Amino acid sequence: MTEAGGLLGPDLARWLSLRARSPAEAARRLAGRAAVRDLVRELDLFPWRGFTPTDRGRKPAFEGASADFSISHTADRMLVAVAKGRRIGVDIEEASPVFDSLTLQRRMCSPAELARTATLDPVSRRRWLTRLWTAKEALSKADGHGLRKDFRTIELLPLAEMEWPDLPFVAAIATRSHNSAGTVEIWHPDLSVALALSER
Amino acid sequence: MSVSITHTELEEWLTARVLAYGKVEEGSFTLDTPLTQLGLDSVYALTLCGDIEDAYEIDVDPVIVWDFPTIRLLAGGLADQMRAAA
Repeated sequence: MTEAGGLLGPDLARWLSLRARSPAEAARRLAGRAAVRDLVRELDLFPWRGFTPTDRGRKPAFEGASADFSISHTADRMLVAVAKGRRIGVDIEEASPVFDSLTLQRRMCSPAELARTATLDPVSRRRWLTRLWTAKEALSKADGHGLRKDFRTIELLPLAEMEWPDLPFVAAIATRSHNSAGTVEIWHPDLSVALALSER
Repeated sequence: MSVSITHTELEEWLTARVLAYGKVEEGSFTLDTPLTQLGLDSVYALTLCGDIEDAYEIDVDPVIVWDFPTIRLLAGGLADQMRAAA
């Protein structure tokens, strides 16, 4: 059986017809799901039974397990995470010039956040907005709303005020060329990652 | 006025926005190329919605780019929305 067939079984053709819009996109999705599978297996999170399709436009679910996964891509990196008993959302972004766009800033920032952007120098502003975006994207993915959530209304607690719970998740950042779980990514100030959890 | 914008003009405007985002080269795509292949991830989807709102003064839900996943389809979806809002 092929890699893709192993991941999705007899529902592969149906799933691809619903979700994939290009061969490259299909390959990227399958690479992400393969990384999720590796994470589940290598860390023995639960018995691996593959994915099962859900509603159109939604990611598949784990077959026979109360767990969730999330995948995010940049040009050459991939972030995958799995949580047991919770919903999870992750995002990875590079601090690219798009975050200089005033149009984007207006659509993603609360009034207080917009005010803060005015106090930052251009490099710091781009990096801060990238971190803000990844946090909001991860939250919106974890609560299941995605882009239907108005990012202007997502309020984030300052990091210093956050209490970290026992973390019921595992995550791995992988490069496209080496996408097995556990790959170590060297931190870079122009790369932002965020992970959010939500009650099921 | 937004309702006077033709489908073709919307396609041209959307094409110009996609080129302005700098993810693809001119001539490397068509009106039927999936937006995801043009680099329109969620960040650019929200940016495009803001640009549409600024240019045409209509409220746009960002998921419109998933519901109408090519420039041609998106132009049609926007034209319908503009007619409904008129």
